[in-house]
Amino acid sequence: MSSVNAEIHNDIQDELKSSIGMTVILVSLMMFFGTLFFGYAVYRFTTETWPPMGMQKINLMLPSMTTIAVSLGSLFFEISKKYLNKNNKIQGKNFLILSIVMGLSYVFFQYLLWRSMGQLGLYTSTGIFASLIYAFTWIHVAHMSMALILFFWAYIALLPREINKKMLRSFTNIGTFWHFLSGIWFFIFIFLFVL
Amino acid sequence: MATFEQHIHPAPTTFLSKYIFSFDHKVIAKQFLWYGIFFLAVGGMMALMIRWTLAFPGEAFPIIGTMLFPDTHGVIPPDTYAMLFTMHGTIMIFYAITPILIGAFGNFCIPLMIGARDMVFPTLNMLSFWFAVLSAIILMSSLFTPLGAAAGGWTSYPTLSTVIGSPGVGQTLWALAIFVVGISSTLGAINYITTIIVLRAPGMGYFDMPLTVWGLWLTAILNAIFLPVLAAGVLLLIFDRVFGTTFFLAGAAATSGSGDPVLFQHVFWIFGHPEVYILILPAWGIVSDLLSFFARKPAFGMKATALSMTTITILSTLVYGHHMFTTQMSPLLTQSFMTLTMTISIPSAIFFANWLGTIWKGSIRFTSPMLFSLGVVFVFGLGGLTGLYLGTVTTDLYLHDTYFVVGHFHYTMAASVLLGGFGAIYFWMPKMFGVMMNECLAKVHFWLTMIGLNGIFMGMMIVGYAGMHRRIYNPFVYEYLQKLIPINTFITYSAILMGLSQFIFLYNFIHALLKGEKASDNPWEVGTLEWTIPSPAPHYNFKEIPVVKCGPHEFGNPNLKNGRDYQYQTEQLVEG
Ligand SMILES: [Cu+2]
Repeated sequence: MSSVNAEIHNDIQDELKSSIGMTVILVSLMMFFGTLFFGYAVYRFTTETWPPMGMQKINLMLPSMTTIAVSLGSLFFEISKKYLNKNNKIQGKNFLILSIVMGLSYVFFQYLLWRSMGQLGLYTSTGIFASLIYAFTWIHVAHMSMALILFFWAYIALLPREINKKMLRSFTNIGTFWHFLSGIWFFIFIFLFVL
Repeated sequence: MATFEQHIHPAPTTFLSKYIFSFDHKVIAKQFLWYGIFFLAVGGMMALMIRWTLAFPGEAFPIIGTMLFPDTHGVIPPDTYAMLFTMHGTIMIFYAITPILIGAFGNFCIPLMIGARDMVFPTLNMLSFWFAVLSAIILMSSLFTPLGAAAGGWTSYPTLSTVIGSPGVGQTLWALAIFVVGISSTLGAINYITTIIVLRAPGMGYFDMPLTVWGLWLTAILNAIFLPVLAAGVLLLIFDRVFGTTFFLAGAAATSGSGDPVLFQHVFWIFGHPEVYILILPAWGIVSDLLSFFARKPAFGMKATALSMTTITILSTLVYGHHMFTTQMSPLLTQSFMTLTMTISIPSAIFFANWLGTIWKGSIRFTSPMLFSLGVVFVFGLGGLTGLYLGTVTTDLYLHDTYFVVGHFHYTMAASVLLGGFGAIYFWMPKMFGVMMNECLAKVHFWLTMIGLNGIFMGMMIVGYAGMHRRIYNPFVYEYLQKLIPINTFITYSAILMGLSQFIFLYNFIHALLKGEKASDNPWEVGTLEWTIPSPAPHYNFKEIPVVKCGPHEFGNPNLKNGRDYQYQTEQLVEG
């Protein structure tokens, strides 16, 4: 096998390896969040009034801001990837910074949400309504922090590298993880705050 | 099947990179093996303490009793008893069986049997082991907390496992340890699944893989899907215990919205039933291979065996409700779960018949791995059949929570998996460490273990059928159970026999490591890929990536003219 051939060949294999690995990770995470939503459904269907008596719905302002932040984070990351694909490192870097800023503001909005819930008298021990919101947001923030660390890592370690298939693949995988979490957030937003 | 260029890495030189933070699947396999054997001893010791209490209530545990329980002069106190059966179950499942069969033999066998130089993600592999170590440290440290380790049973149902039922920090550490071990196993699963799909040697289709690899692959898939379910459950339990959320606390529904203790049972068993198959599938795979290897016959209906294992894997995701018949489920649900559970007997019967078909009229070599495999056939048969009574609603209502259940799941999970694991150790010892274990001692080990475990688990089913409940410190305070004391004493003597016979194994194992007879490259005369390379396997496994030309069980082909009765998978199938 000639060396050029071998390289292309390896590339296909790397692609396969990374996409199968990533699929398994996403399936695992889906089951994890799926279980949480299953629990949510049980609580929701077994409680007659929602939110339970004496509690009010959370103002949609902060959760909406959070939704915008994660979505923009996803969008900016994709734009950054597009520029990198076109070998434009400067714009790629700019949009990566923007998505990092979106990630940080996501965390900030969540922090504000927890504070505002405290002011409403909704603490972790106030009952299942508050428990659900706290647990879902904590778990989501924990995952998003991992994604954010990966964004930083992309900025520090990936960007300085030469743009090639391998580097772009790592970039894509990080993006996939973020998009997945954006999707999960969308469900959290609808089920826990809107409905 | 495309080839994947796999580089030969230079052999690691420092002690740390060679033995501690190794990326080599074979070293990680050995690490998991030592880890598993250690916890097998710990869990086994706990089992003996439980048995001692049931046979001789109020008597001091011999030798180490006064040292462990000075306050009671060596008698095991009731709260410690609850702790013991909780930790025994947890340790045996997550820290002994999982590391030995999945961690050690998964790591060792998968790359070698599919002709790869290593796993696809060596770093994840190393992380998987060290997460397991971290988890074990968390779990063991809980034994030294003020109120002791978790004591709510290995299932840790709320309300027992909430702060109300278990105020100590031990239960929290238990949940944390399970969460971390879940991460470890999920990392392993990502690796196993991807490796088997991507790194199979050229020419090796899925049905050319040994059944061992099939079993491990299906296990990895179940792990990746269902461990996260348990992880979510224990995470919410941790939140309840640490941050005061109310997921599993039943409360005043109208004012604050009620938590739901039974929800944990659902989540636990959605994971828990597949977990049974997670543990047994590798053993099934190994046994299916070993039976063919030592009957010197092709595995009967190999494709059917692989497909039945796959069918069972799929069905196992749909039957968890049979653990919860007594939770006031609607009869429509219980009957559906019962029917689905019974459906599993169909694929089980197929591959069980295939096992018998494999040994039928074979020229059986009664080596130690074969004895252990035949042992698995026997105990799994018993365990599987007794499961029918528990999967049926009417009989389960009577048997639920009795020792019949304990006997049943020990037959399927403990006995089968233990015997399968020992068979695997005796079989792959030459390739793992380059030495042979003493066959005579191995056979003595087998027979004593076999007699011991049948005494234990058969006895358990009898006392359970007679109505003895599990998890009771002293069941004989109830008059109707007092006549069961002799059988309980018999069970305990059987357990002591089984426990003591493990010293024969330990001696044999360590003796072989230190000055065992050097193994030849292919001592068992088997044709799968790992036997085409030197013993012990070199760090790069295969000098040349092998090309597979036939299946893993080509034995007794009448057209073979070279004096062997088997073919290597790298050889073209000889035809007349
Ligand atoms: Cu089950």
